[in-house]
Amino acid sequence: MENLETLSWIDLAAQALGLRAPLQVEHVLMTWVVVVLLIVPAFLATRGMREVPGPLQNILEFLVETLQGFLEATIGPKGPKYLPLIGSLTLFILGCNLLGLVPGFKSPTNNLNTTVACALVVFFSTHIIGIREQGLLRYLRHFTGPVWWLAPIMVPIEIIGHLARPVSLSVRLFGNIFGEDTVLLILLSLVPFLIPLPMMLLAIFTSFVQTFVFIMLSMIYIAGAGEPHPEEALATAPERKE
Amino acid sequence: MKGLDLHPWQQIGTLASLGITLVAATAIGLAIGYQLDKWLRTSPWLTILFLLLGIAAGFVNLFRETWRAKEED
Amino acid sequence: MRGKWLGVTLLFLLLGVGAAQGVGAAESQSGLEGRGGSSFFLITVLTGGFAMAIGSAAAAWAQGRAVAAALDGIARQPSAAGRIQTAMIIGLAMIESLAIYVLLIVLILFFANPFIKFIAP
Repeated sequence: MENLETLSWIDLAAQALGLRAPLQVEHVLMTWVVVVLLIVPAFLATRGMREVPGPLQNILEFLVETLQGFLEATIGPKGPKYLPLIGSLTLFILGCNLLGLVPGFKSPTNNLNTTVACALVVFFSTHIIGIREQGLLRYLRHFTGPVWWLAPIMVPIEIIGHLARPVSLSVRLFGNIFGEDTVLLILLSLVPFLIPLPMMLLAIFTSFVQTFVFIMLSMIYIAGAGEPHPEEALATAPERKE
Repeated sequence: MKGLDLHPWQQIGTLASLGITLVAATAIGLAIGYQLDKWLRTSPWLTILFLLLGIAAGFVNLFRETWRAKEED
Repeated sequence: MRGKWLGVTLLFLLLGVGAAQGVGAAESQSGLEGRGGSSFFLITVLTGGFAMAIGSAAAAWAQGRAVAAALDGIARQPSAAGRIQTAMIIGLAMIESLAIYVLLIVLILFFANPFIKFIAP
């Protein structure tokens, strides 16, 4: 009952602030907690940046270099331009996932609203990046498919396929984190002593893996928005396949 | 050209997305068809049409992903 | 060998009959106590649980066989590892989508049940 009885401190604090007592927007509060937990180390690390970094700056530099490596490997030479977007998403989602393991807090990604928000950010970014890279008309021409007489069928198929991406991103992240948090809650309410530990290890692993999958797919979608579909490339320039 | 399957980790991303994207495309097709039917009051035909379109969209997506993976070999 | 499958089938039939009797008893009891619709929720929950279990089990078994066959192929001829891996990923994605279809139906049953407007006024 650990999570259930210490969640009431949030309700008490909300009552003290004058809000309604069973707080329906706990995940927004937890989002603020994650934001504060991310901004404070970032501010402290960049305050006195040195050539030979101290420990906090070292950790953040390692993170930035790893993300830049992923971006270059997935998107190509234009990759590191999207580091602010991908980096923010990574740290935010990772922080949100791991916050649920701290007793007394809930993961904001426990709730479908947070994950849909992250997925919508990626969805609109891919379209805006695609339009910016290729121009509006050429980007809209993707939706009509390889040959022009397939267009009435291909346009709804493309639209449905594009809409399926944020749905799959959000539902996968939500399902995984909600599942692990619920299992942890039930285990903690049954046997709080030593049994939840393997489940918590699995939860840490799942948090990292789900963050990784989310940003890897975001990078793949951003990379795919900047260039034509594989079969279009095949139809227009067949000798480019080699 | 970018090497899509450069890390073995990137295949985890692809694998995790294929299954659920297929179902998500089908579900979205069904949802769009159902809402359009309720709005335009045509009988179940629009639902069926958009369900088929959704299934097709899922499979087109699946084939595009595997085409991209197959081009690396 | 045939006797083993006969025994397993008989066991599942007996379990099914026993479960149906249990469900019937619980349904009649809750139908007597509560409103006319409380057995609806009981059967919905039971169906959801069993459907999810059977769907996940079947998908997991099939995926295990697919991965085992792929690993056999890679062990036999490591130079074809890339192509075998691609084919394995396609196969795993299609099997996994079947399990996710079951999840979708169970979620619709639990959270967006279209027949609940006939039960709860």
